[in-house]
Amino acid sequence: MNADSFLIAGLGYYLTLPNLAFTAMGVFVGMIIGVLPGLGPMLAIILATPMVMKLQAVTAMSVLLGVYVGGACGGAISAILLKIPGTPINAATVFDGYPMKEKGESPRAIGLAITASAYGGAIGGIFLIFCTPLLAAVSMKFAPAEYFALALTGVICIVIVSQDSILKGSIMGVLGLLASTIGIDPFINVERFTFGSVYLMNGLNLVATVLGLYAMAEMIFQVQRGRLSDSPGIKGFLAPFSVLTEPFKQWKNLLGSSTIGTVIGALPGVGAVVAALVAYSAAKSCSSYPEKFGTGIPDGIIASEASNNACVGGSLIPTLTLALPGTAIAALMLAVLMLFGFLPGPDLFNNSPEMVGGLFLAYGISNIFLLILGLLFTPLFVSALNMKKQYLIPVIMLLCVVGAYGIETNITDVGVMVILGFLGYFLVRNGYPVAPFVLAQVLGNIIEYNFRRTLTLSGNDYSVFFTRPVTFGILIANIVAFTLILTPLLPWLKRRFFGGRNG
Amino acid sequence: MRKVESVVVAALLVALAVFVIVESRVSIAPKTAYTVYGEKDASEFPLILGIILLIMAALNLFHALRSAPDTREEDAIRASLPEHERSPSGIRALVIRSWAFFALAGLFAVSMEYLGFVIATVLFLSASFFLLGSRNWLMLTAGSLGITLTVQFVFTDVLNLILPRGVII
Repeated sequence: MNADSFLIAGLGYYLTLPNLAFTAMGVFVGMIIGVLPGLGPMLAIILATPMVMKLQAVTAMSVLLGVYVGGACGGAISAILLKIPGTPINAATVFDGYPMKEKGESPRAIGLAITASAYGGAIGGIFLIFCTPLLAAVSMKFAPAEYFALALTGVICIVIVSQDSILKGSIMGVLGLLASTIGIDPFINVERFTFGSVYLMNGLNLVATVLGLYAMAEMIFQVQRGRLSDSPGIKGFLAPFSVLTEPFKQWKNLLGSSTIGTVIGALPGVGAVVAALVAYSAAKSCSSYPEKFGTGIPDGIIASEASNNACVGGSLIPTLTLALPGTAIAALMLAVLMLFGFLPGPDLFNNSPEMVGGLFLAYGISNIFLLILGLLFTPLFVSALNMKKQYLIPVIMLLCVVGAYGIETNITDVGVMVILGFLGYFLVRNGYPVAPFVLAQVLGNIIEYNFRRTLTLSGNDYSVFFTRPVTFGILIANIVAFTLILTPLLPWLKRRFFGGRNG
Repeated sequence: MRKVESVVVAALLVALAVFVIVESRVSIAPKTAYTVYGEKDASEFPLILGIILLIMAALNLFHALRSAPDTREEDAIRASLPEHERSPSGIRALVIRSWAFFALAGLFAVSMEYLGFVIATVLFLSASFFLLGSRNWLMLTAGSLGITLTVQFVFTDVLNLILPRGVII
């Protein structure tokens, strides 16, 4: 099947009034949460996940895609107005966005950020629609051994994600893999780490885990960060509609930055922060007036925002075709898709083309809604910055508790969330990142299932991993990547354990 | 104190790794010694992970014992605080407030099944707003009730989720 067939299959499945309304709602909520510094698309998606579990799969996924798209753009508003990016992915927007605000061009700067995000996202969507079926066709030739090797690539990405502390990131990754083993064994009817608990037989609920480790722990930190009753007192304003065409006047910048965003987004473990910075640097070096970058010119905003929203589309390419999420957000999207009974990879493309088409359409339409809602409701999004944390934090905590309860209507999920929130606080406080845990918990089942299936099919012959060319190639690439990542670790080990004695 | 905390966290990870290895060998492995189709033992994957975790956690413990604790999160918090809250007593007050808020959230989670969603939520929101410094009586009363009813409408009528009705009231 080609891209057209998927889109046609998805038309009837996705294009209904409720689905469109839910997509718009997702974009709106994503924008609001993205605007607020320190929250961002990850928290928005975590909060939205339990709420959408009772909806139809395509509706739920369209809400989450809307939240992802809206959240990635929303942070630009605080980056421009407060010089504080709502999320790290909007950090490069500060360089030219804030100086534009200083010049009294806030409405234009915010309008540009929204339009560039929507156009960049649309270009990322075109890549998604045309590249995904091609990659899926390749992945259809894969056997469990290749999937094991690919999922292992995901584990390497876990280490890359946690480049601040490789050791602690790796520990969290292994803990995530261990968390995925809790429950009934997928091959043999044996309980693992359940301690006789009926609740644990189904495994550790991923949504409750993420709500606790990430959202609850974050709320404790938010209270400790103070400024609970602060409000910047910014008045809302409308963006001029002239910004609709302005990014097209810089079509090379727009196209180049979006392409960079898509390609980097598709690389596991790299992410939108790097994409935005690379696109900003590329736009600067290709510009005929590089010295003006950082002084408040639209070029910088276009490069940064187009690339970080295109990154969303790029990150979905390996997630849908290879079940290989490169970021914690993509991992969460993958997990939700799996909870609805869709296994990303060839099965999804063969058995559920309407779902694939629905996802393509949902992503494309999210960007259209971003453009419309973003420009129409700019005053509201700007005013959201005035929201006081003393009201916002309890409401988010309420959504966490109700969300955890709502997944299975089970109070035990809430208990698990609270306990993990407590543990998450101490882990994050001591420098253990949460993202690798999430990625690993999702990838854990895929790794173990394919590892054991490969061995069962080969009669427990481990040489199967070295005799299949694709598997061997991926494993070698993993080893090379791991060695490269480990390189800074080796001097650290030497310095720590032998440096003192050798002076 | 922070050094002790970072060492305790690292030591607990080592203990967890040992527990995983022991549990895999003692509890899981005997149940799966015989499999019909020659599948790999269900304890093998957790065992491998347990060993990897043990190696990493031991290195991490060694690191925690020999170096200063990772205070980046606390430094970021301190940097974000306004001048009047940056003193030791100001920071302590915020930490106590954050844990009181966490306890309140735990209490809310427990009480929800007994009091029902509406009453438990109104109480939780009012108490939290007050705890976090709000003295706006309109927000403490009508605001809490309005948010509660909105959330209930969205969850039950739009998203078809079931919320607890309570057993006491």
